[in-house]
Amino acid sequence: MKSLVIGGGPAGLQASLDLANAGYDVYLVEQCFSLGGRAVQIVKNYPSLTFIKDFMKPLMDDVYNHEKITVLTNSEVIGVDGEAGNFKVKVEKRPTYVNLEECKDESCAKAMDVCPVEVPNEFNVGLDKRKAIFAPFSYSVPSGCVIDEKSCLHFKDGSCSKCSEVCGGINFDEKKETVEIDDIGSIIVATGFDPFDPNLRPELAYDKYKNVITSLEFERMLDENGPTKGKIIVDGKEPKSIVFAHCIGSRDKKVDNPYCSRICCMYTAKEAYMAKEKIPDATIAVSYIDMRAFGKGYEQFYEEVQKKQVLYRRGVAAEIYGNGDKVVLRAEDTLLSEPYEFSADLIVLAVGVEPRSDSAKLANVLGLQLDDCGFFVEKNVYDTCETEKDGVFIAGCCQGPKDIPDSLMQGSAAAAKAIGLMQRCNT
Amino acid sequence: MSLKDEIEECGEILGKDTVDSFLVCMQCGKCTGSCPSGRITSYRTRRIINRLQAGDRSVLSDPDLWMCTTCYTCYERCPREVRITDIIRAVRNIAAREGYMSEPHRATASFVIKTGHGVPINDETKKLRKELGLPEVPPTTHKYPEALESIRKIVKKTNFDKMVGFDWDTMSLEKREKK
Ligand SMILES: Cc1cc2nc3c(=O)[nH]c(=O)nc-3n(C[C@H](O)[C@H](O)[C@H](O)COP(=O)(O)OP(=O)(O)OC[C@H]3O[C@@H](n4cnc5c(N)ncnc54)[C@H](O)[C@@H]3O)c2cc1C
Ligand code: SF4
Ligand code: SF4
Ligand code: SF4
Ligand code: SF4
Repeated sequence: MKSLVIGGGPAGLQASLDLANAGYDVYLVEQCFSLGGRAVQIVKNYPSLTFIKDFMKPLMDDVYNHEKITVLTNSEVIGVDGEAGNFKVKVEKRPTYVNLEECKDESCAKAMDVCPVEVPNEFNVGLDKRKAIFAPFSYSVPSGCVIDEKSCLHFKDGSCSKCSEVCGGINFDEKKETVEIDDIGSIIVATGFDPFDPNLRPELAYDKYKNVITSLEFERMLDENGPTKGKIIVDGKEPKSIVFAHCIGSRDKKVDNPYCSRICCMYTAKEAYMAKEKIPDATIAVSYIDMRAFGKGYEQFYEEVQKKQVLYRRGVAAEIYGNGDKVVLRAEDTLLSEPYEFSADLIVLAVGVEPRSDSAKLANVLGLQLDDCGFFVEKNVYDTCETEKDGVFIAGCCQGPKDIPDSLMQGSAAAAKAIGLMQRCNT
Repeated sequence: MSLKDEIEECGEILGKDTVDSFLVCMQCGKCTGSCPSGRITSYRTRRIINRLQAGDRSVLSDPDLWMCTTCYTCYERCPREVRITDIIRAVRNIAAREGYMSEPHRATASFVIKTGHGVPINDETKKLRKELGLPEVPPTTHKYPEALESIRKIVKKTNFDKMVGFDWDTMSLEKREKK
């Protein structure tokens, strides 16, 4: 009996590995070109300040190279039939037009070099550009290049085939295939989340000022292999004053996200800490409603951040406006009952966790329910992995906001549940 | 009667769900930070809501209650959808009933009784209307002075005159001691 995992972020990777190590054949379907999910866009973890890459890269490799795991990237589940213990699944595998077997690192660089098309780089949240043929990120798995047919000129009007002149692995004739897999005993959904779009709060002026950015953009600046080589740079300058604004798009009924996103208090603490390490003379403040540092070691880490003279000021960001080169965050200090303004070189919006915009589509294919907020519905509060649909489990942020350790744990829990079910089906 | 019940009663026309929404305020300060009045006065929107939650009746006699311009910015932005401006209006109703209406608001009320308008027309507005191609005088009590009698009937019937302290003999406001 085989097992299907949908989504190759922390939750899906962990679930796949646990299932495979228990002896099951696993099919891992990932929509993007690489495994890793959102976690690989983040540089360091809290509270340990260890590099996420040092954990994620081996996990991705272990999964990719596991003899019992078939990884289907750039793929999507388009049909599911049957029932627990015996699902039949249809997966659409899209072409990347690059044959990895033929791939040599130098030819990748050459191909990217000659490609005339530049588009915003999704991985770096548009902070830089990538080519139409590109490597998704510095440690993507599978490694090597892919061609994004939406921006490639060959597929637009046939006017280009430059990359194929410098790389023998290019094959424009690759077609999308439908892979049919039967004898699937269980399905684990681990499709993750989307970050909140701060344009839905126009008073924060995100689209108006270059120095109002999201936390995800800020993460990309912290990356030594990222678009700024690890430097915090806005408009060519290093900011000397930074304000982080909590709860953007979370705890906010106005944008239909009434829930707390759980991760942003702590990732902001981490980002503030790292900012202070990179720019020791910077003035750094955090505007917050209340601090949620509930994990093991989190409260102590919050203290470490305060020791770095990061000023925590209570009161959510009310509005933001520009003043010359500066951006000004206006809020009420709710402890003093005084409105105040913080004029800064950079404002970082701690955007919350949203259900993926395409989750309704997948819910439909799988016969799952979405809750009022758009997350997949668990069976009950005591069982957050099982769903109303027998044999289909959920894990990670697609069930609700959580950080990487919690996503991994739920991935393992879902795998254990799936193994239990498949054992029962076998006997 | 608890303050909450009174707010419900005095905000009946706005709806119970609307005026009760002060209960779910999370004290984030988005309202105060957004408030144009709070920029120049001691008025703190969130504090009013906070005191209502605590059942603090001193809110009723606090002059700050009358500092809101009813611009609805906070109402539009509140992440918990607290219907702030409507709540303030309901609480003002209680305050007015207890004789705490602010002097500028009383003055406006006396204009309604005297002219049928909170803001009666003046020469400047007349000129502006003419320039815009409108009749100089709008079709209100300004054009139909006889309608003023109907308004005054309503004022008496609802005891609005007593609430604002209007003296029909002198056609002006009674002097009120600051409570
Ligand atoms: C700014 C920011 C900073 C953060 N900092 C930290 C931190 O310091 N520490 C920490 O622990 N956490 C942090 N997080 C949270 C962390 O990113 C998440 O906890 C983690 O990524 C959740 O893992 P996941 O597997 O549930 O989902 P994801 O990482 O979102 O992975 C989901 C995967 O599923 C794929 N997928 C989606 N839909 C489909 C589909 N229909 N078919 C196939 N595949 C699909 C996606 O492409 C993706 O690869 C941060 C998040 C943000 C936004
Ligand atoms: S064929 Fe497409 S990917 Fe290759 S170089 Fe031309 S535009 Fe770039
Ligand atoms: S985790 Fe913190 S910043 Fe994020 S929504 Fe919850 S309270 Fe706000
Ligand atoms: S904005 Fe809403 S939730 Fe926040 S303090 Fe004001 S009333 Fe309370
Ligand atoms: S409606 Fe009143 S309290 Fe709210 S922002 Fe406007 S003036 Fe301030």
